[in-house]
Amino acid sequence: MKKFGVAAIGDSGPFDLASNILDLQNHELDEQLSIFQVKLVEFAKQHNKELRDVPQFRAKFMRMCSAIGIDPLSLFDKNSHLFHIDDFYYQICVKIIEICRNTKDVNGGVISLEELHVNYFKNMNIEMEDIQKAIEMLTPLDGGFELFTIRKKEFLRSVPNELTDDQTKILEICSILGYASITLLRANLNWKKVRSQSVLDGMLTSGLLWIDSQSSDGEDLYWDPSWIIKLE
Amino acid sequence: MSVATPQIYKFPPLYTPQTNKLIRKQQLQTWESIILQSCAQLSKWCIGRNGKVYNQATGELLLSIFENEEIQRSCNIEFQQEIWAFMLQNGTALQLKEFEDSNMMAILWESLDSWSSTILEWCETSGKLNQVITIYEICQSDENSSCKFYGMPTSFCLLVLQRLVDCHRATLLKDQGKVVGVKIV
Amino acid sequence: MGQQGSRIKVTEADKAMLQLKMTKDELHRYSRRTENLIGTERAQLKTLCKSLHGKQLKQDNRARLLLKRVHYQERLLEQCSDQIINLETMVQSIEFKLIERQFIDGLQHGNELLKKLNSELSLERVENVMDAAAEQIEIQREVDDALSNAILGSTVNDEIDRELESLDQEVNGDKDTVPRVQDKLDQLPPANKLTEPKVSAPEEEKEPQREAPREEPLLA
Repeated sequence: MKKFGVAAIGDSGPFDLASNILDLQNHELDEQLSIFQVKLVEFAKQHNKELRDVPQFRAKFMRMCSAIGIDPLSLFDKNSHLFHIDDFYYQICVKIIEICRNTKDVNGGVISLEELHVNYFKNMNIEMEDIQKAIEMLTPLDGGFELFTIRKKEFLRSVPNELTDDQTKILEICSILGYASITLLRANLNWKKVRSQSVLDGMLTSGLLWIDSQSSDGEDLYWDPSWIIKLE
Repeated sequence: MSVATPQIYKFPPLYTPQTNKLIRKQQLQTWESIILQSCAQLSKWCIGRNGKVYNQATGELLLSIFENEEIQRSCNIEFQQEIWAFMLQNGTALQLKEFEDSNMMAILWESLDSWSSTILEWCETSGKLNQVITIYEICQSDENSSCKFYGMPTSFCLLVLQRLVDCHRATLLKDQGKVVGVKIV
Repeated sequence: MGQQGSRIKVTEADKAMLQLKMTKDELHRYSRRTENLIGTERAQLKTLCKSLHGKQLKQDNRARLLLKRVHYQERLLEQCSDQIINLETMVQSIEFKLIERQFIDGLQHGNELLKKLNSELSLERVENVMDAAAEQIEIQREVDDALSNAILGSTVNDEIDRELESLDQEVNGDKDTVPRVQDKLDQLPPANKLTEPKVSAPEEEKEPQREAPREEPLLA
């Protein structure tokens, strides 16, 4: 757009100068912070033994890390056993519980391990096996965490009510196309309409499935929210 | 569509109101964040109640948020109303006086407080403190075309400035009964 | 003009400035409109160009009219732009003048204060004060002299010299001199006696009342 008056003369207003300075400061701060973070990690590696042996020291150190935005998990190095190896899994456990709580309202408390891994843990260099091991450690808590497998894909259930066989079968169907419907259930499992309807309705109320009433053939579709991560 | 949307935007049931209460709330929050993000990306302050945004000059349809042609889904009117009610309640959408009849909603992808501090900062950096500035100058002046608040609707701007008045940083100046200028200190 | 519950003052100058800026905004709006108009008319002209060719175009009244309008509006736009610059310059000169006024006001206030302070400092008063001060300084000096003469006489120096000498011998001298130190110590009592008449000597000279109380504890 054409500019009028003084503004027409040049684009460099007074803001450029101000924002340049601010940018510069920002950049410097960023740099300093990252250097500090690197040093902190180095420090952690050097004083690994002390950190492992003195819980107070460890707690203070962790607090400092979280204050400047280092996830304690990123400090763990499985091979060199930074801190104690169990601590590493405890941290993952805490993360998993947090994630389950946060996503409960979307997926009704059932999350696929793949989603956990891809969305939350991959960038922290944590492998699938680590997650599985951490989940094993959750069992003594008796908090209703349970792993189950649907078509070779593992899921974590974080709500106490157990899945019935029917519900598991529906989730199996969902893992093919992302959704289930009465027609699909009849074709695949030979279920009667009443049975399908009641199980599907139950799963809707407990938040395990989302309903979609706009399909092209007019039939209600019941979608599994763990399908969301597969959408491009 | 020219804006980036989260993966869930392509999830068909998002367009059907969910029956589970907790999930419905989550769904409304998802819609809220999609609307806020899209408006922020397009730098649009207003969106029609039907979710449509037009290019003011050419009349071209830029965005129709409640319709997703790719997956053939759309929100029905009742659900749209519910989303707006949710956003009005959260203060992320506003019904502005000047839009009352035209069915437009103002979208606060940044809070009024945040906008007011942006304007205050602009005054400080451009040396406009303690001077008379017109509302038009803030929102439309060519000098500000790179500012975040460039193109902000007047009534929206007044709301933002009112925040500054409330904390005694500004005085509104009227001409013929209409607020046209402001003095910020 | 409205003012909504705040302590910020709106002066007459502010109001005038508001009017000025509003005019500028109006001009700005007009320029935008004209610019848009030129844009659409140029587009119209182009579509006309596509349908007509060569001579046909030159003879076409609509095309001629459109082009004329565009030129006319461009001239207007230029004028408008100049006017905006004029207004901007004006706004800036006004702002500068306002600051200048503040500067003059500041100077004036300073001047008045200076004047007031000067009127309080009359020459006569200053002379009186200076004289009095000089007098007091003179008295002070005399007292100082008297006090330093009174106690630190040359005898004290002699005494210090002697003591240092004895110290010197004690420390640096041979072992044979040990008895001599005893000799020197024997000589000390007369040195003490020497101070006595010296202390009483200034007593007679000046301010006997002052020295008197000092003597009393000495005797006791």
